[in-house]
Amino acid sequence: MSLFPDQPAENGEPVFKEPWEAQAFSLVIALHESGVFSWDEWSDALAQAIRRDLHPGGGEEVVQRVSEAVAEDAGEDVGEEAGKKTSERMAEKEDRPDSYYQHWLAALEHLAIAKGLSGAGELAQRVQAWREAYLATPHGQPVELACGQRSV
Amino acid sequence: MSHDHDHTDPPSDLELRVKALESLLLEKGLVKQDALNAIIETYEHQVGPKNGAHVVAKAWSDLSFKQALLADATATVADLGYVGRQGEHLTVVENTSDIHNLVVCTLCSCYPWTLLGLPPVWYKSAPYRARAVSEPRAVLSEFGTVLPEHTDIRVWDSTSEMRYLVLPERPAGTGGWRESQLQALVTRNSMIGVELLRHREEVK
Repeated sequence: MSLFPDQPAENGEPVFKEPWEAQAFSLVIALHESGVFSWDEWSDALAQAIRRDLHPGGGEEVVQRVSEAVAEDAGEDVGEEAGKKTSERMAEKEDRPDSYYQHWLAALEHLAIAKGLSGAGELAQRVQAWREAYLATPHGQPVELACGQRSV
Repeated sequence: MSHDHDHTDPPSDLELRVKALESLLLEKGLVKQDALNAIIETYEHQVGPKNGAHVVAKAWSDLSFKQALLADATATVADLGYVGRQGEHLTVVENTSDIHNLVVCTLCSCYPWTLLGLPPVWYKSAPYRARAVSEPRAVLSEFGTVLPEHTDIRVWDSTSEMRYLVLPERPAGTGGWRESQLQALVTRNSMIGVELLRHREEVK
């Protein structure tokens, strides 16, 4: 498995701190293996995601737009509450120096949108649909998307 | 964390974003679930089992740690830096010569991933989830684990609020081993309760 500089690894194999990191990793490998993008394209996307994080505001902010659309979809939360959430997210980011897979995920979202695999709005709606599915599911039950929220 | 039972607390934004992307790509047929499982399976041993093995080896080596672990696992493993991000609680259940513990999540795939890493594919499968409760002896024998008739098998059903870790029996012939040597003996499956540990010659 090719490794990127700074990718968390042990004995040359990627390591993951949390399941979502492995999920994001497996999506990239699977899309690459089925020929959706080349490894060079992926390297570029990842490098750009890291750069966007270091220099926010430079370049197009598709992922930023996704997050904003999610916040807008949440409706009542806009305003003070949304501002608070942003600052909490910033704090969380500073607390976690290991942002490698956060960049990985941002790069994947970016590339998926650029390749037309998903629309930015569609993706934002789906994030919100999952959030609502959790909130609507009685505790202890498996969480599933409501049928109306699936794309056709 | 809320204990209100008419909803489930959503996971972090990052987890929701991955779920969103994964579910869209699966629906559009751009990725296949089998392929994703296969990739993850390759790496599932790389994550957490070492954390769980650390806890088990420490419990074998240090009686007061073991007592604290069995009394309040959540706080005791937190002291080692192992904290679930969703604030879920942990219970450690001890295997003895008379009692064997087995962990399942009948509803979904709740798993103490802080300690064990990614859940194996079979753990998430419908047959394991159903049969671990209805016929635990048969399930165990499929993992090559055959227990004496008199052994009391206890099955623990995980929830998003409570996760379980099995403290396996310390293998015979390991007296005087250092904690790091013991740690190398502990397998992921033994901490889910589907296999017993043996003293293997190759582990020195």
